[in-house]
Amino acid sequence: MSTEEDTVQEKKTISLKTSDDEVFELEENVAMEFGTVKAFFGDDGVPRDMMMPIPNVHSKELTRIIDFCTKHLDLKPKAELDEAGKKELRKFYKEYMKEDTTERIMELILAADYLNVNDFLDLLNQTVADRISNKSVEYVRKLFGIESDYTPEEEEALREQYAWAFEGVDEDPAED
Amino acid sequence: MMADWSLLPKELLEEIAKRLGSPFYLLRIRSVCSSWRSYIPPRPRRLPGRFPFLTNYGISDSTLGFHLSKRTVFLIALPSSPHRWLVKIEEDVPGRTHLLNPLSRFAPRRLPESFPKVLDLSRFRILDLAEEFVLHHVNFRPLVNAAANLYMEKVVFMCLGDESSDYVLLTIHVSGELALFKSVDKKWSIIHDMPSPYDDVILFRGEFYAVDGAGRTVRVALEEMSPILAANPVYGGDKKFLVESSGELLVVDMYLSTDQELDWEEEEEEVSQVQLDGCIYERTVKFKVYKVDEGGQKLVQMKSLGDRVLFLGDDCTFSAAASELSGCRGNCIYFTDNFFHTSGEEEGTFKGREIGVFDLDSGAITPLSDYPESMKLLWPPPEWVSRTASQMQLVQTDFERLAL
Repeated sequence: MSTEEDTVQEKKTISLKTSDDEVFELEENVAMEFGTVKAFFGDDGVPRDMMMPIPNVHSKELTRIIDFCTKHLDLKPKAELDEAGKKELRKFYKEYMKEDTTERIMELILAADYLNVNDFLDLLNQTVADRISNKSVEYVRKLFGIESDYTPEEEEALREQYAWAFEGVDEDPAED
Repeated sequence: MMADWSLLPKELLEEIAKRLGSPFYLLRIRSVCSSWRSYIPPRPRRLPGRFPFLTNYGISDSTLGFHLSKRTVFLIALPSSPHRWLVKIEEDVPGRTHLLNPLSRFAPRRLPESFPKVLDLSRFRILDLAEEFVLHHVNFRPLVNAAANLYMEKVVFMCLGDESSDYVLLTIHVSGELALFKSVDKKWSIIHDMPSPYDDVILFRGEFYAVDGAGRTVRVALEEMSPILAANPVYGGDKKFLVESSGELLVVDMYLSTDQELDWEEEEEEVSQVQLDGCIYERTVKFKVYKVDEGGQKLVQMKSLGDRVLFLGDDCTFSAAASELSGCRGNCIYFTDNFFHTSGEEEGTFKGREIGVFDLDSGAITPLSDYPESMKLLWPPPEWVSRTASQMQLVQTDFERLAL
């Protein structure tokens, strides 16, 4: 994974150098899942054997992103073929982020965003959304380590937005 | 390295907010702090507060048209407690909320005197369980206790994309065939494909599915307006329902009996009540549950639902984990039973049709009123919801201390 090969032959790999000075050699099809990499090398112009620096990404995140892309590239065409493939892809999405802390997800979001890895970014964003969906505002604040900067009056106004105002005690749902 | 969420660029926060399933959750995330509030735009109301008057062009000659109303089923939970309340809410005019019976469209609810006029939900966890849509005929006022609201079939609604205000409705026409309404075309189209009359429709994984009386399940392709086979029929019971549970599509088969010879000596009063209404009410005797195996185009029977509870309402179906609903056993189906009737005089019951519970393990069907613990989930409105504001403050600081 972390090599400094000097390959002369037509090996379809791309080299990326992370913020912590590690060099990764990726298969070209995996690397091209990264929008930023794709744009960098373009259709012509920059030769493929050139090493691309990615100073905003740590090797820890890159390893994970490569892992996702490799697995995803394998499952996606199968999902297009039949139901079993679709099921497997869904299962993959469901399980892939299960063990990760919210902190880790944040780090991955920033890296995936920088590298423009859309499929992974979608999954990461959805994971966060799912985790905060059925939670109270307090929980969300604590999860993200955010302090509320609302004044008590503002909090009260916000509360009013939540409230369900009932039409009186005798409810008749048939009334239009 | 501690992740600092305040570094998250606004575009990414917007992306996360876009993926929240319910506008309810969006409201919460915007309340976290003022910068989040400024970063995340409120989701524009996709549809007008009152659904537009729909023409009946192509569907029925006997009415002036329909109007569509939307209700949502919520599970309200008091954090760090087992307290739960299942409700159905309709907000027909912004700021005016109606509380409805989660499973039936008919039984009106009378809120107790002590229930607050305005309910502050900020301290609760709210889980959005289901949305239902109901078509009302425009030229009739639905009667409060009428057994027949004129348009009784299930309706499902699909919004075409985040940005678009176009939508599609699917329902079952009186003939038993499927009918589609596209807002773009402003008319209904009948899908002429019906080996057996259709029983139920559902929106699953962003697509419309339907099941007929024989259990034949189809996916409805919108462009071609045609059904694609998802599972072959099983025949079996009398009425089929579609419900989603744990990300899977299930078909629930309800078996009815018209057996009039009942040996219910103590319940004689109830039996005559059933007959007096002028209809023969069929008793539900059992259910079978199937998983839809779209790849194999078949229904596969499930012997157990595990921890899941299925709810079969008149206008929507939904499911939940028993662990989420305090006091409920898993592996059960809750449904409105035409046979069980109450006068609503007793406290803690609904007027009209009762809720029955089918236990997949034992095969027994019992009225929900036999399980007071489970009944609490629905009615009466629990005390912890109505607590006064001063008590509320106390409760809030307790939670903060528990760092939840």
